Amino acid sequence: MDTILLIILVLLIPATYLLFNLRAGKKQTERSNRIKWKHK
Amino acid sequence: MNSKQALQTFGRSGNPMFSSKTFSETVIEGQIEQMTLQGTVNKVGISLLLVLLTASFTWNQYFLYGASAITGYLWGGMIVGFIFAMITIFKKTWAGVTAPAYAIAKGFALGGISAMYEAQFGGITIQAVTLTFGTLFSLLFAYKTGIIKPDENFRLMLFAATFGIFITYIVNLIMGFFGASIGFIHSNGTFGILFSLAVVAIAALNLVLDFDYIEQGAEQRAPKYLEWYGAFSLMVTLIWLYLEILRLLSKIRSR
Repeated sequence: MDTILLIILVLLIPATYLLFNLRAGKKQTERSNRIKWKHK
Repeated sequence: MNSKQALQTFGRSGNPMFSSKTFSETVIEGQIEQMTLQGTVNKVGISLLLVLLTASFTWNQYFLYGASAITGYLWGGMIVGFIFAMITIFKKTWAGVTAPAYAIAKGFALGGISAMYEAQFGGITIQAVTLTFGTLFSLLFAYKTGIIKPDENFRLMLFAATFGIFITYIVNLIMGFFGASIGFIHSNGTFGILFSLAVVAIAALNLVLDFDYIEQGAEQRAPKYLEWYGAFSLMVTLIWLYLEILRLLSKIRSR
């Protein structure tokens, strides 16, 4: 059980890293009702 | 040197320190120092490594010398972590120093807490860590593909729910000083498990707001120091999510 979880974790971490580095799709970024965060 | 040449060399100020090049160079530097998605992701990775490093230290101390050996690290990590979190929130420009310090401090506390749960329920830590990363990946996928779309209503509802949990925990803490507590927070009954499930869901949805903040920061070319601030926000939510999953699993396994 622990070994299976460890294998899943080892696969999840690089997959998350790669996915995080991709820009979000237009369906997300070009919405009119998007929250306007203030970056200052 | 005639007046035209002097103006070109020194600008409108007579002070040679403020030549016409000064501000153009500042602008160029300003353009280089901008928040990027990759920069933020790398800083999240560095923060996670720092947490892992200090957590493994406290974890080993617990299994080598027992619970009394980690009490100082556990409480010290919680308090120092809270102080660094407050500094980061109110002084974002310091995030480059305070966010890694927060990760280091929280690591000491997390290692101790995880070791205590592990001693009671063998294998619970790897289950909680895998579930935390599984949730992170799933919600990241849902956000990037536009399945979950955070808007103002989403933010308001999530803020209300998160604030409600915060108040419940504060009331529980105050009641603890008088030897009482809100039963369902620690109970392994059906209501206790449902409460923990709801808290895990709310903590997980907070990740979506962090993703949106980071994504927009990179889009809007926010200042570089906000990479550390974005990584810090994500770490706060991830640590909260991990602790709630740990609590939920312990409730399920103690039934």
